[in-house]
Amino acid sequence: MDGILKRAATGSDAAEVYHVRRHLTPVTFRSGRLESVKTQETDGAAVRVVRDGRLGFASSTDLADPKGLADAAAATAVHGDLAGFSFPGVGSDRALSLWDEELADAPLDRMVSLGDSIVERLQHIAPSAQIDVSVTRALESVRIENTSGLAAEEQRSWLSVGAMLVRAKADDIFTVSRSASARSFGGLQIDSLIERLAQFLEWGETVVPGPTGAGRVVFLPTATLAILLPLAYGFSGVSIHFGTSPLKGRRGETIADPRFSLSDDPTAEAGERAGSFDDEGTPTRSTALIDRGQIDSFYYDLRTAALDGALPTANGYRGDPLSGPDFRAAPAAGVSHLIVGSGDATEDDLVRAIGDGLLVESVLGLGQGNLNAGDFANNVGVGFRIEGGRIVGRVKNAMIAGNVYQRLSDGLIGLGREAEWVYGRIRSPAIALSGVGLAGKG
Amino acid sequence: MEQTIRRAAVRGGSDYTEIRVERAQRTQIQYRKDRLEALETSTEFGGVVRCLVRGGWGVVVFNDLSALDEKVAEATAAARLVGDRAVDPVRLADAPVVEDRVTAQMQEDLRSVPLAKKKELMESYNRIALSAGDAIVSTNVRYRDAFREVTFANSDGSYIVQEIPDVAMIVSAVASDGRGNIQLGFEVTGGAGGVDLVRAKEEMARSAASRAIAMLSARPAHGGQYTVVLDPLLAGVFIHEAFGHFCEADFLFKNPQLREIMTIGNEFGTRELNVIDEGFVLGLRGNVPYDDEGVARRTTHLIRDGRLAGHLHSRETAHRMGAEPTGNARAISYEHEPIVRMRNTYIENGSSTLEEMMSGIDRGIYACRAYGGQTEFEQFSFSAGYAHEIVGGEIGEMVRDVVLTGNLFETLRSIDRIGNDRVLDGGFGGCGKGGQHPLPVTAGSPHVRIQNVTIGGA
Repeated sequence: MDGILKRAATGSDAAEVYHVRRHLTPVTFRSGRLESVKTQETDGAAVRVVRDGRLGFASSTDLADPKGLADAAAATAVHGDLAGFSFPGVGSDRALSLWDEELADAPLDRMVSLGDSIVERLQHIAPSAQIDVSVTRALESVRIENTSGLAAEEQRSWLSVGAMLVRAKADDIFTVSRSASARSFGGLQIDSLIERLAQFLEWGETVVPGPTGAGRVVFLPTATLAILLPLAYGFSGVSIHFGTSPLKGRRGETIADPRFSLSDDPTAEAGERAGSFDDEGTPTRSTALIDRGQIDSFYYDLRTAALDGALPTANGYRGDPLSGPDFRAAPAAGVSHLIVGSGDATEDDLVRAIGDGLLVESVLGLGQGNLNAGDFANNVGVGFRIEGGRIVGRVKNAMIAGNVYQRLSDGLIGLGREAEWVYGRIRSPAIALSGVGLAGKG
Repeated sequence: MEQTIRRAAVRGGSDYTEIRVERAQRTQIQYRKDRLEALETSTEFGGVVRCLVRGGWGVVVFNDLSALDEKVAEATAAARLVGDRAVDPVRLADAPVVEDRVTAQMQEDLRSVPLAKKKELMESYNRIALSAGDAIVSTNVRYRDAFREVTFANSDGSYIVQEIPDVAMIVSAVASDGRGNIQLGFEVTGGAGGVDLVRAKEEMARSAASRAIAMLSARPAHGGQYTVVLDPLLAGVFIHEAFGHFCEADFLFKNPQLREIMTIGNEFGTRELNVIDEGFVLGLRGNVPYDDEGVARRTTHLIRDGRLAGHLHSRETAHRMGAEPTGNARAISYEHEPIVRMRNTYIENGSSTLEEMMSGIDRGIYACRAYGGQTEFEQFSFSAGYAHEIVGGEIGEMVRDVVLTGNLFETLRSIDRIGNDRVLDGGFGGCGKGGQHPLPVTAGSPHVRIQNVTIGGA
């Protein structure tokens, strides 16, 4: 590692080395049976250099050849864009608690027995369903060094469980899935995962026609991704700088109902992307994006902040926000965890308040609307019809569509009081909106 | 290296062992508006060992290739953990032992074109898109290439080295009216070949930009049911996403109901409907001379004359379903085990012209290009890149925000006309399944007409 930085720094104005060692252990159960056990070790590094003011980037997993990596970065810098920013020299002074020794040391068969116990509980609630379960442990050690003097290092452990039930009848296939994740065995909330799945199976026994026209929808925390993805685009410093966000130049304006607040918080230890520094070494902090309906801030990595004349917000991440961390990608403005402020309604309150409409648990087709404009357009994966303030059955082939900015300003019915972590990336309560476009074949 | 890999594959205490070692070089270039956003190269060197013991799989992935025998031992131990309690043990269908070397076919070798030249080419397309009109506020031009050399060895004695080139490009432009109406136009292309595949694409840049501008004055589509004509690129994505994944046997063998629905010979649509998954067509992104289990390619008819004619198999699924492997076991890289995937999948030409399809449609939608798509079992959802109304048999005004949704089987049965103008394109992205994304594939089709399609909208 020292060798790479030294080599990369030679002849450069500045240099940075990002080195990650990842140990991933996925244990997979299909149709209720252990199918495979895998271990995946990744040892990779990425180098950024600035030469004559120009930025270069290269990555490699062939670390037996550090010279090759440093030289590849230098070669891209010759044709690279002007950097316009400096690497941070000061590390984070706060240490987050992201590592669990017990999880890190656990033998493979402990992961297998965790999977076994989940399969068994699911068989109990859904004896005739196909049951797929995965248990994955990720152990990661990240180190960033640069010529500004930074040498930051962190170890992170992560455990996630995914469960999918498929109930097939002659002309109907009903699939529900849920996931849970934590930094230790003890933190995993398996009970609520099982309870939720059991409830969905019960609600889903009958298939009913979906509502059409402009209607009311309760987005459960898992479905809020449909709403939050366009917001993540709109608040990105990249969209702001390049003028593809409708929020450009509108800081301080009210764009949502005063009950709605949104922030990005990489210091939330219960989230998968938590770190005391981001992937550029900038010390992390929480950034308010929407504060009680008003635009507070946008989010930036180092380079975009410099381009836009803003301060970096420690949102430089490597790898697409949806597909997960990847050291092979250069840092770009990205969200860590989106945190939606809670309201005061229970889920039952929201269903009653809706009266007639949809309760959506999951959506398909993320990102297929006009994200730049704030549009969402999704097929409902798992959704339930609400009639007379209660759930009456499951809908199939339903679609929801709308514009998040319009819905959040004119159509916010209410927010749940209990926020839930979903996908390790979002902490949100249920969100009830009116005026959502609904279509379906009934 | 060759001797080390060969020896490691046949040694050890497993029932079956396979090793893949990959060396890859990748380049990525991205322009956004007036900035060069990315100019990146990456080098990948790594391997995977997969072992089968008493019908259970163990897999080990690594970057350190110095101790291959240890990795085989580790994978064997993991496999034993699974195999010791296997209720439904995995068996592999027989596959011929192969010794071969497949070299890449490229006119303009990806590895010998200097980075600066690739960059200049993208810069030229970006300039065209960016200067197409005052309404264009931003652009996004991305180029990606990869040259992979994958060595495969298994304990049956196969040893195959394949060179796999891949190049892809997307040109997109964003137009704004300055009052919150922001629209996107894009064009994509991709193939298994050299830099020549992305040369002379100025027209892509012009059409992406002019479409973004045109969409500013398009009305949003009204939700409801329509007769829809899909252009070849959207129809290709439909057949891949909505139907092709159903033919993947790993998905079928665990589900008796589905297997029943997907029984060979079952009628799925009009007699004119033919769907093919093809292992090799020179230059196509989905080419797989040998799959990642060392099985040689073959052509698979998925639908012949409207009836289901085939499934896609790995060695494991072929054994379970009493079929032959079809060469569809693919992994996106050494970090993953092979799973059943498509290659070059398309609807074969029918007999209708576009005019014949349009005639008789009172009120319909002509949906073009795929902006996105997702399926969950028989439910699918796709958004069109752009669309036009069809009024009185004629292509009318442009409409936007067209998302098509429905049930696969109903929709296939509702295809009533198939065009004679097939187009195949690998696009920019790729297919995603089981955490493996993007896998280079090609999809294609002629124009197709479908009755009673649900369009989502406000």
